[in-house]
Amino acid sequence: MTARLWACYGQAYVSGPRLQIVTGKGGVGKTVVATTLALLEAEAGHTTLLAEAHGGGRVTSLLGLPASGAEITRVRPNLFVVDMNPRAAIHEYARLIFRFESLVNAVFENATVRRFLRLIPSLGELVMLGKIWFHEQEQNEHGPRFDRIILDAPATGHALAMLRAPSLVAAAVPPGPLRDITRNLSILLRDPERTALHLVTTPEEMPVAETLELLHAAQEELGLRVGRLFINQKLTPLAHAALRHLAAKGDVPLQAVAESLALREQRRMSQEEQLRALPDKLRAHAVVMPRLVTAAFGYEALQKLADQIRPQWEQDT
Amino acid sequence: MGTRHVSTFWRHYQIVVCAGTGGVGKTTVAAAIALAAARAGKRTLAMTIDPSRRLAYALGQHTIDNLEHPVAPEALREAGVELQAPLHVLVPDVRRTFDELIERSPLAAARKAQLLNNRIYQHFSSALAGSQEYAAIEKLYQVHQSGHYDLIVLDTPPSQNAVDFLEAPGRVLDFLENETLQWLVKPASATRFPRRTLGVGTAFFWRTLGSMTGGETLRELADFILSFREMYDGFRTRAAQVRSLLRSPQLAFTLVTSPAENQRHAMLHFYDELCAQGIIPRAVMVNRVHPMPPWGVSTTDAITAATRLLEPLDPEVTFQIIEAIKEEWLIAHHDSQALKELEARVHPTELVALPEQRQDVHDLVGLAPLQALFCADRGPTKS
Repeated sequence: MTARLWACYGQAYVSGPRLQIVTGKGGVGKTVVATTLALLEAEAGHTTLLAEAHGGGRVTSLLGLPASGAEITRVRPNLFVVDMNPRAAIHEYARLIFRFESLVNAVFENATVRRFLRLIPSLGELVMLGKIWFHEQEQNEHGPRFDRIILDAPATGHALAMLRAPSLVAAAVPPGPLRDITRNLSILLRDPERTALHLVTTPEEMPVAETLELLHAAQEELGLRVGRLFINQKLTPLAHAALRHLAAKGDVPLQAVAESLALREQRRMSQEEQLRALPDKLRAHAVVMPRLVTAAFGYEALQKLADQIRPQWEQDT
Repeated sequence: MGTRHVSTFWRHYQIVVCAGTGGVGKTTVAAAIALAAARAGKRTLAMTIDPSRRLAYALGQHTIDNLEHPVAPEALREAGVELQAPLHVLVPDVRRTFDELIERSPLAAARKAQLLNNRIYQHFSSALAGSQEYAAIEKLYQVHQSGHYDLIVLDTPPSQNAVDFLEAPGRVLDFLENETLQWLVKPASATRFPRRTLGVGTAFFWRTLGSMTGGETLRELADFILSFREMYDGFRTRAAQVRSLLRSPQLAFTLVTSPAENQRHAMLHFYDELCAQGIIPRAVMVNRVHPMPPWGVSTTDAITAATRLLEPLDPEVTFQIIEAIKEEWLIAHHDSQALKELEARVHPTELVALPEQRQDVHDLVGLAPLQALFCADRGPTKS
């Protein structure tokens, strides 16, 4: 399995897997990466669904739009967003099974029942993945409804819990409808033609260490195909000769400026050092995103990032 | 009161709870406070329930077994930190905490074994809503009761909602108290169950949920809940004790954030939630603040001078340097604006700015300069 996954990853794929999951350590910029990726794919002409799991509307707020909520909303040409939550996903699942809105409402809009459902472990994660599965399969008159589904997953720990939910539930419950869902999900997640997991990191020790853990879990335990590594907030190198020139020939303030920039260079080199802990193969295909300094991160900054990473993204995909 | 760059707020408390969203350095801050306290002579315990167990790694601890482990003083001495009192690290294990609860309960031995062997319990005790938080608070209560420590620093799991943590004991009770559950686990008495609670018939409810999850699943779940309910009284007593501990004046909440806009918003959301619960956070830590560059001239002047000096060089090289100068200033400027806004917003809570460290903080050597910011001997300085 592992060999097959390694063989697959990094290799050019023409159409790309439909489902692309984005995760990494908390605070590394998962939502920024997922949203930028969705913009790129939509601009390339792919009908894209950007699905947020437990995000609390971060995607729409980044895009400068009003919250979309749990309904799939078209926000730009080819780009749809949805902010999933377990409660809405369970309701939707029930609607799919029963097809009678009033009947479903009678049961699922009941506060006692809702409290009960919230207590069933892993049900929320499972049903959200189930929703993703449904849209991955969904067809309209032209073929698949979505060419790309980008899942902005929670941070590493919770993302792993989510991706483990199908096998966890499969082991714990007797045969029945719940077990059937877990089978469909496991097939989808383990199919390298249909699903890829993108990893996001910053060039620092702890996020890199967590990326390695994630890589291990994805390949050895979950059997997920690893897609691309996104390195966020990378500092651009400065010419050392110029810094030396500033320090040697400048007055006192310029010497201080040179010292600030030398410290920045030191940080950049430490970034390079940290990245060396990652497997060569993964680094070779990484998408590098420079650090952007802005007061507030909004649509403009995203578009700038999208333009900067487009060549790297298209190179291998 | 201004923004502080050094803080010793922890001296007044027995428990410090660090809360915040993921990725702001909550674990690092918790470790730094624990180090500073042990250095100052307090017998200290650092606890983390972060799913990635970063605090333990940062303190050189690699086993997760629900036990208190001492941090080797030699390792700290090498990093330049001399402890005056022992420092321990504990990573609560959710499953073990629940197992211990069952083993300590007054249930008959056979019943305990039955519960420990229940398939749902085995797979899900650590996945139950709020179980991580519950285990942490339960363990916190135990170690606090032991009297072995002068200070316990607890690093909470990252969450979107600070109240999740406070409500964890209540949620486990809620789970056991749930009327629907009571009714589900005793289908025989279903006819006497008041229809109005659910609004639909029992049989209908069973059929509906059953066709979603499978009837057998529901029955196994019911069996599990039924066994767990027998421990209800124990849970209720403990939950009340824990609840008062979380609100006791010996406990300080501190919120950790970064200068980034979305992180600040998330922190303020926490802050307001806690205040609404009658808990005023004692300190807000803004981690990784870029200090204003000490250039002695305005950025415009620095750029003009640098441009002139670098003129003979490759224009591309010069452009990069000038952009970097702008960035260095801009990033510090944004951070100082962010601090000003926060200061007004969280007043009278102490606002502490922790500067971006020269080195990546991920081990004891990296923690050494950071812990100094929580030490009294540096003396409080104000900006």
